[in-house]
Amino acid sequence: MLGSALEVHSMPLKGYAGKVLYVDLTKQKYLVEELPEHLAKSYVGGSGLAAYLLWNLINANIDPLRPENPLIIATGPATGALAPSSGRFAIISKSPLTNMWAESHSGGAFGPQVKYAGYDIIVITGKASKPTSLIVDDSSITFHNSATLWGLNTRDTVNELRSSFGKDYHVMCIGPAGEKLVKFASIMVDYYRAAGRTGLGALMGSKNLKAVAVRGSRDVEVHDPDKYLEVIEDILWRNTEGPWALPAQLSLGRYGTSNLVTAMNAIGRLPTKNHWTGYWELADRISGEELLKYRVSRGSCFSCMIMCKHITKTGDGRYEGALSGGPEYETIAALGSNLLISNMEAILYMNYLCNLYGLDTISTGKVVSYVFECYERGILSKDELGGLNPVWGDEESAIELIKLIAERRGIGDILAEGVLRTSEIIGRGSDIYALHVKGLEVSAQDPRGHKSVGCTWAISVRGADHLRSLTTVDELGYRDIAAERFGHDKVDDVCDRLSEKYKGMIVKDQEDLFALVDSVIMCKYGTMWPPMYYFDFIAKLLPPLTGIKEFGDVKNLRTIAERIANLKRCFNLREGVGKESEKLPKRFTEEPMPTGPSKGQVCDLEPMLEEYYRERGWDYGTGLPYVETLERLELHYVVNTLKKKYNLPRHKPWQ
Amino acid sequence: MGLQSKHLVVDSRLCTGCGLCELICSFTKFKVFNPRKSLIRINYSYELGFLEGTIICTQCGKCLAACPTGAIHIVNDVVRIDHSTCTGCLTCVAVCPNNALVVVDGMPYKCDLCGGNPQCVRFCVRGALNAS
Repeated sequence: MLGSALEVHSMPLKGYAGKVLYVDLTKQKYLVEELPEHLAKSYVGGSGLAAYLLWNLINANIDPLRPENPLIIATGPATGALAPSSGRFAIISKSPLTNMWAESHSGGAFGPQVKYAGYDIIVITGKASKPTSLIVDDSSITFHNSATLWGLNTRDTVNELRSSFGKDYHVMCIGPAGEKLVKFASIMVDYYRAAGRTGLGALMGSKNLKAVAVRGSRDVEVHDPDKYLEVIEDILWRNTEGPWALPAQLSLGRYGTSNLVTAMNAIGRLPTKNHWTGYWELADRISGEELLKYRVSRGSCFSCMIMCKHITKTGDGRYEGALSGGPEYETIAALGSNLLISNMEAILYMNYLCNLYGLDTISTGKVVSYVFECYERGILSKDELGGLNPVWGDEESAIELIKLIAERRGIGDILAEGVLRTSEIIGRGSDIYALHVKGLEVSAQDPRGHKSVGCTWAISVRGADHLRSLTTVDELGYRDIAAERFGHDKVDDVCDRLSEKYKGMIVKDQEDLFALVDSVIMCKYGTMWPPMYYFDFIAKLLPPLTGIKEFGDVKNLRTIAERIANLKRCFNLREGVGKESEKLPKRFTEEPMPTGPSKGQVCDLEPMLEEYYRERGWDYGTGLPYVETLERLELHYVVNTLKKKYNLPRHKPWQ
Repeated sequence: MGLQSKHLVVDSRLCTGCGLCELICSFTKFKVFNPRKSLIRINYSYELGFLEGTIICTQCGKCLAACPTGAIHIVNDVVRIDHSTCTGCLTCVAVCPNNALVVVDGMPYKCDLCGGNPQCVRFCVRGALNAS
């Protein structure tokens, strides 16, 4: 590298836009600040940088729907810079659904446009006095009066804004569900991509913020273009050549995530009947192959060679003309097998409705299945459900419940609070059918058929979630990778999906990897599955892009990853959410899997948790981080804050 | 189409809107990532999932004919701008029927098929782009 240390220090950051945009909706004002280099070096970008900002911007225990709760839109250094599957961005806040860490990522091309407009991060606080959209490009910030957009569905909102401001704008927006503060409302991006989880749509609704539209024409500069191209050439073609290329193209490329329906059913962890079991005889009817019949086009997010996206349309029947993006595996499972609905067109229609209303399909599916099960068990009556008769497989009731939730009508006004709050309001022992962890409805896995999922769900900073630390090395038995990452002696146990052994360890490792991936920002495809890209790859990618040579040291990258993972966990601790919440619904720990390939299995969470805490450098007994762990990660400010609330443990000298 | 035998052609049915063509073009030509500086630009509909239009140079030669300083030549069957003699009058930009020229720092740039190995074609993994 050129130049002395001093010159390198004063050199503007490459790869980054170098700016943070702060917008105050209350005052209709904005402020642009430089992105400090030391923060980039310590937190990389994306989720990591947003975690640092969120920690410092709010105090503990604020109401997430208060104006001061920021909506943080974050890109990473890889965003818009040709890295594999790097068209994504993150939205971070405190969750209206769970009252703790909120994080949801989306693909499309919105994120790169934020970068091209000149910002790494946009922080939006305050509350507009009337419906407003924020229009951002590289020379202006406009507060657009969106009174006429309020009430519109997400697709019409995007079309209206693009016809008013230009077709080159990319838009993230809420639909009626977000406006009505449905606690699991999504933010829809570029029409059909979703930042679905943790209720960020309600956060936008609370701010009277209908949409953010962005376009940009600024350069993303590269520190060492020749070297960077060399690295990109080496890694990018792993998508089309090499051992993972064919499996990825045959699976994700052909079917998108929908191929998982059959694969998950085969190992007995396809959510079926409100997760009663993990196997469904009719799964073939909602398979990826079946979905292909309705696909009108295959698409991709920006800067991605995997191209797993598709647009689907229903046929001529009663659901005629429902055109939308997806559905993804999670949606097909949540609204299909989970409700015993085998009519693919009904699933497509529900996906279409959720996308237009701006509802998270995962949470929606699990709330609806809770209603179905409560009805079956006599906990909820026909009268209470406005005359509905939600027996398993009844698509009409499911569709009606989605509408009631999105519009907060009838029982929908309660259901819109999410499954945890609903079960508290309903009572009558219905809590055992409310499948959530820390208030977030469970995603489409089953810890009985894939034990590490139990640990993943329990420790996840946003609740029962498949994108913060889900491991595939055990699920699919990748022995070579297991040996490489964890040692030959552990391969047999690591690769046994039905064994709890070493799962705390691999979940911790994956949580660290994803903390980094979510900060860089890249997709889980390429990092989760296929597991092509690991720490060593990111160490190759970042230095020639950013000029930050410390990113080239894998050991340092792992420290950064741990720092980010710890900071997010500490954010939840500051909110009072700790180990006592790291539990699973009893369905997964006490009810043996009744049918299918995982029959008889339950998930034994505690040994995995104990191992996870040990690996994390946290005290299993108190559920708190050791002071030494946080100090090693240079999180001194976190220690100082948490000390006021907790008696933080120290490693005993003889250990 | 056009004076020359070789230019970019697009099979819109295969495009997925990934934008890798724009990214690698701006990087190859200007060492930065910026789709607005790409010499091929795609207009992909995320709503309907298809390629609505592309802006590409067909090597038609209208810029060559209009250039008042003779800075545009045919080299190896491709219309190229010689930036050492170009004065930046931008007549070429004005006459281009496809709006395919891009102005960067006051100077015009056009697709030259990367000297015979167009990078956009190489990075178009679905094969929607070809040079023929």
